[in-house]
Amino acid sequence: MDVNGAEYAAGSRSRTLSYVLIRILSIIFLIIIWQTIASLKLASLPEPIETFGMLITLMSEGEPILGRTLQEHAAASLMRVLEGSIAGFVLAIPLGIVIGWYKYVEKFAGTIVEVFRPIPPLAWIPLAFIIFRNFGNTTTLVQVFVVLVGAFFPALLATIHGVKSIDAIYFEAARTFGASPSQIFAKVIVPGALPSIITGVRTGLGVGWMCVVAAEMIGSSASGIGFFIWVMYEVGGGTAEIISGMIAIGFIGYLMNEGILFLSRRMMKWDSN
Amino acid sequence: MGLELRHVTKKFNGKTILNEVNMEIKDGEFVCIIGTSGCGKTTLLRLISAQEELTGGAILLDNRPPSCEDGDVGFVFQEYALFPWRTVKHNVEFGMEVKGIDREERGAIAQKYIDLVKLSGYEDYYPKELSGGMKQRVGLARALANNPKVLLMDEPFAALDAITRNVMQCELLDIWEKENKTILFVTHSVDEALFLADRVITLGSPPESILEVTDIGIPRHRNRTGTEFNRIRDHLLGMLMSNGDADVKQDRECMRQ
Amino acid sequence: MKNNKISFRFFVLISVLILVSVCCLGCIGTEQTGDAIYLKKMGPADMMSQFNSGDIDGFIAWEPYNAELVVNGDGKYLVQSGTVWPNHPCCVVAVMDTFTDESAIKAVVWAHIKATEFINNPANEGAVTQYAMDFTGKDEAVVKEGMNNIKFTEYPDETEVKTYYQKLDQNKILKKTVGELGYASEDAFFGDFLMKTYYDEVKAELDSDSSWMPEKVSNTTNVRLAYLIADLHQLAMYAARQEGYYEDVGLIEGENLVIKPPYANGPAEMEGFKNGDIDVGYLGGAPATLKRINDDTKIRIIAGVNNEGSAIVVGKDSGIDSLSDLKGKTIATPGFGTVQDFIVRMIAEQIGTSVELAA
Ligand SMILES: Nc1ncnc2c1ncn2[C@@H]1O[C@H](COP(=O)(O)OP(=O)(O)O)[C@@H](O)[C@H]1O
Ligand SMILES: [Mg+2]
Repeated sequence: MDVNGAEYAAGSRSRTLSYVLIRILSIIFLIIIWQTIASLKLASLPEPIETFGMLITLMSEGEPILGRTLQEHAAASLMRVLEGSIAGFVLAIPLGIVIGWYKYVEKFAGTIVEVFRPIPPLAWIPLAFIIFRNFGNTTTLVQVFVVLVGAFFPALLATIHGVKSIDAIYFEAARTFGASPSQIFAKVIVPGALPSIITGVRTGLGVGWMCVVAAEMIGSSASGIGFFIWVMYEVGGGTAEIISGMIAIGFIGYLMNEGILFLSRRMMKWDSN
Repeated sequence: MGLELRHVTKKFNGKTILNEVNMEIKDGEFVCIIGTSGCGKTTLLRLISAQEELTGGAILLDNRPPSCEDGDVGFVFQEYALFPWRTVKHNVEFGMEVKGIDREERGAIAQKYIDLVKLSGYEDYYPKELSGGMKQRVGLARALANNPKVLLMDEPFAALDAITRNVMQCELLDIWEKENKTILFVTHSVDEALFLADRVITLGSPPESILEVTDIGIPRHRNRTGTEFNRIRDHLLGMLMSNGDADVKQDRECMRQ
Repeated sequence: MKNNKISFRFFVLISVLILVSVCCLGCIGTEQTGDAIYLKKMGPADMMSQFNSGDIDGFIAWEPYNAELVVNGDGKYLVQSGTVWPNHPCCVVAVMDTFTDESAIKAVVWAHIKATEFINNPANEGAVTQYAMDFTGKDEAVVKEGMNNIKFTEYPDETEVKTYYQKLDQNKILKKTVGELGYASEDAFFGDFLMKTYYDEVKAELDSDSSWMPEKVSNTTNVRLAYLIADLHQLAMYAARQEGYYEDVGLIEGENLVIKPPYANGPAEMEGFKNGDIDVGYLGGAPATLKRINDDTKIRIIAGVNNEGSAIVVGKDSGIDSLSDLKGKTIATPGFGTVQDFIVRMIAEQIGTSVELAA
């Protein structure tokens, strides 16, 4: 092992470089298509350059109607996503471990989970408004709740899968060393299921991010990227603002995903390939 | 003293796998168990390590039933069963961690056994970064570090290539001599058993019990092609063939050619 | 391999940094301790439920929502929109520029005037109340209260429409100039946008002979007519249908008159115009003007529906008794750049405070 480490590293470095080039090319390709559509007026889109100008204005000076910068809207959305998805994970991960571990719980909860899972998180909005009507700060609660629902199921399913797919041999090995059930939980189930749980967290956060943006559009709000896009649409004439908002959504979603991937690679060297 | 099996019987769903097995293994003895696959070798080890419940009979280690909680037995698995999320060092420390030995002490003990199995320098490697032979060294160190009274090894070298396997056999003997452990070593390879064991116990296909207990008097380090070695091998293979299933018979034909 | 611990510390550091920065950024939007008026945007149904849950201190909407809260709930009128901005424009009738059938436009204008006269005639109070109840689905007390606060008109006050335009401009809500739309001046734009000729012509005929009727619309001319859901301001359209005014001029429902399913709000209806789904529509003057400019949706205003008719309602026992009590309070509005939005801004100016977004 590591015999040809240096050679291998050199090879992979040039490969990494060409991968980066391909990435840049793909973005250029996208912009060219966009420019073509805008120039030929195939759809009423603003030109890329105009949109990027708008993006910079929105980030530096903000937007006059709502009087906020794009980052401020993004931060508001991000807060909701973090609150909602962390709440979702706090519920989903322990529940997933219990369901994955105990056959009877799996049989009991399985049907319930499978019936609730196909309900789109956004379909919860009206009921959530009714449920949280008397809690104060209803709008925020509803949005956070919708994120919670969205983040919950990917994390739950991944945790269940993670626990169930731990090879029985590890439990056996732990038992030959006299590990107690709680030690097996802490030293085998949790680390064994962790890669899958992290994948669930990653997916959950992604779904939560989609949900919050949509919830901000549908439910009444006063902040967030979804809200910003919706107001720009209602006021009209703000296609560049709308696209800027969408770019921000995509970029933040990308960053969150990459961030978790990066952290999980660092945390779980043993699992990466 | 030592390990004692009395009328050990095991049935799975009414089907007898082990029938009235009796054996006595002295402290510090190296015993190999051979038998065709499916004859109940793994089951026997699992019974001794209390992973499986006895249908009948008794198992006594120093006059009481062995228990994992006390670290009586150490198990080395054919599939290594190293925790992939733990480094070499942390794998070796596992048993001590379970027992609650403090960090410094278990670090020192782990280091001793890592050195013993010649893995110094690999302490912080993860299992996926190791070759099969190295993995099994970790498996061995992990079991030894828990200071068990008896070491149960279930076909530990079966997945290794022939050369690595021979090297591992020699090193295992070295370690056995240094550590003075009682070893119960399961294999389906007659050669391996002959090379390693003080005594070889041949298990018959269910529901037969022990076919024979053979003392191997050849002094170590043993020559794998010596005449006495060959004689006992022929004898054991013949016994397995007349008892065993078609697989072994074929193997035997191949070996003759 | 040995940097295990380092990487773990790194991970902790990064996650703490992310959390802290997000919290700091998030806090920017959550301060709401000043004495500004805090705005929250939502539809009228949400206003009702959020008022009841205490998320908002009050709202500014149109009838019958205000009246409903006052009559059935624990709300009270704080101020009528007409008090803050007399004669401000509200709902209008608009026609798409691609719809050029003059007889049909005249017919719609005629039906609208007849219906408005019908509503404004005190002799018809019983029938009008019934129509209002049927149209909005609200009970008698609510619609009566609401009707009191609406001025049903036939054409909007042109100077007030221009005032509204100026406000849009000042608040940087306009994304385009009239020049970009191809007009030499604002006057040229308004001359085209406020197409009063049909109204003037029909009105003149009716003034000289109240039984005058325009020629019947040909049965090959289809008119697709849109309106907003349960908006008491648009009662004239409902009355015209019930009183048979459309039939009188040859517009037969189910044949050459298609009544579109009601739109939820003005922007949605403007989208309908833009997509070519609508020929004539009743809608708020605000989205009509705003989207005429920002989206270049080429509609023209052929008649007015009402002026005023919005109000700020607050809790009965909220202690909000005067406009200056609105300082530090959260008020819901139906949208940015709406007449209601500007009324709140005018109030803020009047009481010497600013308007901010709610947290
Ligand atoms: N948990 C179990 N349930 C039922 N049958 C089992 C179980 N474990 C082992 N057996 C059966 O017992 C027999 C002996 O298995 P094993 O001890 O693994 O054989 P060996 O290790 O000698 O190859 C096999 O026929 C196997 O199918
Ligand atoms: Mg076996």
